[in-house]
Amino acid sequence: MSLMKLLPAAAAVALLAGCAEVPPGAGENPADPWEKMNRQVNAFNYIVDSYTARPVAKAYIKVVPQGARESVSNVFTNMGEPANAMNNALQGKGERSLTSVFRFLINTSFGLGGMFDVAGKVGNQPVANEDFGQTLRVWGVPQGPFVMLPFLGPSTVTDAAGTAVGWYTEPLAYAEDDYVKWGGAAVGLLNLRAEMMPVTDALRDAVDPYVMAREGYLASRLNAQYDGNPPVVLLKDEFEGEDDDKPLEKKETK
Amino acid sequence: MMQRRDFVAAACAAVLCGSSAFALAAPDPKGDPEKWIFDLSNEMLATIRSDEKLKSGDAAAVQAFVSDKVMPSVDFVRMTRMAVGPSWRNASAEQRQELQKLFRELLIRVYSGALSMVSNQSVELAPSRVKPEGDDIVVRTLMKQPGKPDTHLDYRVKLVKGEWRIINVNAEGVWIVENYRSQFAPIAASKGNEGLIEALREKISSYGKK
Repeated sequence: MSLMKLLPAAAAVALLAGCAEVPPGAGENPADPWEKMNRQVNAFNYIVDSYTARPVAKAYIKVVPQGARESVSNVFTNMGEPANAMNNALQGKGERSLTSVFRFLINTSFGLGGMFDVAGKVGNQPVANEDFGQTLRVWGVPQGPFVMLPFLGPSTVTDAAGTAVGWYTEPLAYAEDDYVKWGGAAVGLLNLRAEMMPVTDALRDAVDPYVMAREGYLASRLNAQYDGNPPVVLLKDEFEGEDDDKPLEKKETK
Repeated sequence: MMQRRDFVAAACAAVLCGSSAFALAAPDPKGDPEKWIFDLSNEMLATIRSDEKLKSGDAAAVQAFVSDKVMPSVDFVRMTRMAVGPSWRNASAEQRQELQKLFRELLIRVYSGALSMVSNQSVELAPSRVKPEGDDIVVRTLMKQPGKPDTHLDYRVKLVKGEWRIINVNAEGVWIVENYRSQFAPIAASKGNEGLIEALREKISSYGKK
């Protein structure tokens, strides 16, 4: 679809989505000052996704066997290794950077262009994911407000900048053939959407999908920033000892 | 696809399945909390693996599994009140029962999809961890599956009347109770406990309609 056709369509969807419910107190959360706008974008994304990426990804999951989808996923993981190597190095994580280089070399050669994760399976070297958003955080750039990006979903100001830079660390960005470049990017997005399916399905069942997505995104980014070992802060139980003698009745009430 | 299942992966899977069936000790909620979590999570995986109805998300099988296997190991009153937040104080006894029932239904709906993904996973205690001390601790585990990256699963466990109970779960950095609290507490703060109950009922009644 050409851009001229796409814009009115996007505007129409935006109008449809314009009636997203905004709860009282929206924007009071210091991590999410733009909540009112973000919720509108979220409603827009939900509608666009429901009619485009989601059904295509559902069909892809249904039609393409799991093994083939795993190979596709592995190829894109492998194409992310140069970015992992660069960002690990930029963050001063020398050993992890070498792991990424090692994985890229082994999987590109012995793993037939990354289809098979030989380095992970045989070499026992799991992927050391890093992106430019994390690098900016390590360099001391504040995370900035949470932002729901049109089409792309949850992000923060800093992560959005990281995503933009990240495209230039993708090997696909340097493909000379436009069909390879954009075709590859499209398959990459399809693969990503299919991988996200369990998460987005869970969001559909949430009482407040927007908040669930925001909190889940921010927590998992903090986790990634600490390479899986964020400082543990335990939620306080303000009703300690109050209803310990009144557990849920065992009898099922339907 | 079959060609992916090379000899190494197949051998690993066979060893993992075999060893977890072999090492299956009855989980002891009065003993060492790390051992309890290890035994409990592997026992749950084995139960799901061996039950096709459960794996396919059959409603009755899931309810039975949750009642018999999950609920006795968690402190669900505590999980619910931590998820509801400050307005729990004003909730009547009936509302507290209702909130637990609805929260349970919601969790079952959101996570029963994951049952179908259970195949040859096994759970190990995370390596290089400090042995946790006290009666309110975090047990860190890794879910392993051949050919896949490890999944970090942490369990916050608390000693309640001499037995360990799970009171929160962290999957890849996301605490479940905190995530629900950030959804529930604002609704309860603006619309009261009855408003939260209504919102939960409305959501649950929409299940299966799409």
